[in-house]
Amino acid sequence: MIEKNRMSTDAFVRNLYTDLHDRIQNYEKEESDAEKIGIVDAVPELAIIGVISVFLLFVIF
Amino acid sequence: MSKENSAISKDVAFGFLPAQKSDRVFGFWDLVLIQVGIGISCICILVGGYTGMLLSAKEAIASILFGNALPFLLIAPIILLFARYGVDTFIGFRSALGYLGSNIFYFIFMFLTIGYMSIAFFMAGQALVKIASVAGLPEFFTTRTTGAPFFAIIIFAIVFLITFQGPLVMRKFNLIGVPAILLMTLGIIALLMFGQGLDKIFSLSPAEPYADNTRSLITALEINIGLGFSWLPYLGQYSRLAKSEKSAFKAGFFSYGIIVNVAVILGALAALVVASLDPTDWMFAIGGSWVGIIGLLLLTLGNITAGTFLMYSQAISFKTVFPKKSWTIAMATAIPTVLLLLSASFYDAFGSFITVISYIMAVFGGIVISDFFFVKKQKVSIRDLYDTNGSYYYWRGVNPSAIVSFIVGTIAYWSLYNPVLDTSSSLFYYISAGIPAYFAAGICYYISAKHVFSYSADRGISKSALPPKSNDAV
Repeated sequence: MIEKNRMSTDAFVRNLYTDLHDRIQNYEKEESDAEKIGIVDAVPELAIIGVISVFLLFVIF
Repeated sequence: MSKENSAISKDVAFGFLPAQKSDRVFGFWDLVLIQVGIGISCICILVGGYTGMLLSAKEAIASILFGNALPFLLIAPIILLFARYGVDTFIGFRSALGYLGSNIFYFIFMFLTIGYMSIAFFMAGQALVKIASVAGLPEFFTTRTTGAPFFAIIIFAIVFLITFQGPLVMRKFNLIGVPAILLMTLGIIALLMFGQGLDKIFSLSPAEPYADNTRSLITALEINIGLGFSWLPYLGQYSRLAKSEKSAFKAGFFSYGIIVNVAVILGALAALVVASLDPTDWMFAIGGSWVGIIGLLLLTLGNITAGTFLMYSQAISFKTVFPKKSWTIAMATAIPTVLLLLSASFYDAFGSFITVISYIMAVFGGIVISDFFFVKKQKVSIRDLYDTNGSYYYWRGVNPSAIVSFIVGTIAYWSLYNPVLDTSSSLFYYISAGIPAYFAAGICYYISAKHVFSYSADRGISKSALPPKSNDAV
């Protein structure tokens, strides 16, 4: 489908899918550019949820 | 090609293509500022208004914080999919829903956005009705049944014209509109803090609670859970442009899960003071005549800005999903909004609307999280995301596991709570409905994708590596 659209007569579609093809190749070669996250990085968010949950329980009971 | 059309084409290409290194410009604070600017809107204030009509200030604050933060944390991990592969929501969700399934999800997003737009426009219409009353205009303009739809449709037309011209005109308008809603929010906070005093606010009782306080609490919680889950289709827009997965995840959580709660809490406290959930009633009651008029004008401007963002977001997402369709057709998808502006019925049923959204987004949230983390093990093929004959074609373009899970999540939600009739089972009092529906859909998806409708894509094999027709379920 990507190849078919690269041959499109519509210049916008042709350029879009040609650019897409190049970018996919870059991703497949180098994987992602974004730095990866680890499970430890989510600890502060889990702690915040814990505090909010305790606050809710305190208000209810 | 005109300057406007060129800007739209650039936005379409930018939204459609996977982000490259030079596109990844947003750090944690950039994302927080953008997402909070988008997130703080009349919708948050109205959710707060509903909460304040049911609960005291302390209970309202606790249920707002929990109701928004927990559901958001449950869906926030999907931000990693967008940040890692640089793709927008409707392309990223193809791995879980299939190509056609993801397009169907776009139409659900459209339904959500049309609902949000009609709320924003009708609220602005009501604000102008109040200003018309002060100005002494004829009865047609000062009555809610005629004036509010009239002004709301005029505002729709203005927003349509602004948005149709593309991002260049829109961005100029947003320079006025975004500060307007922030100024109004800060103004109401100041008036509540210094005009009423926190002691008085915290001693007030809600105006329209249920006979049973537990029912008030769990219903208010469910409305906030709805808001928390409702961010799901918006998560890809900016996360994909993050420099790191960590900054995208954390900025998403703090923006939509925590900071926007300021506006929700503000709405709850104002509703407690004025005993009305409608923000257009608060301005004169809290600020007096002149401050009231300024407040209503800022509210109108803020809602016009929210409308331009929502309408553009819907149209540009349409072009991302269907890049060959024209900009006029993309913009035409906003026209059904007018039908919801003809009377106050939809605006008055906002509580039911947001809980229906809670159910839909909770179920989809469970499916996409289960797919990306537990079935695909955080590995999707970017080529197959774009090749609509690729691995994520599943069955006629839809993933059967997603269909089954959607049905199971629907049964779980509606057997606990009926948001249209506002009736519930006894279990709803203990576990709510949106969060159990999320887990029901997620677990069902995992079992189905692993053991019932297991496709090559679910087993980590790209279709391009297989002989033809080997993508069938086993």
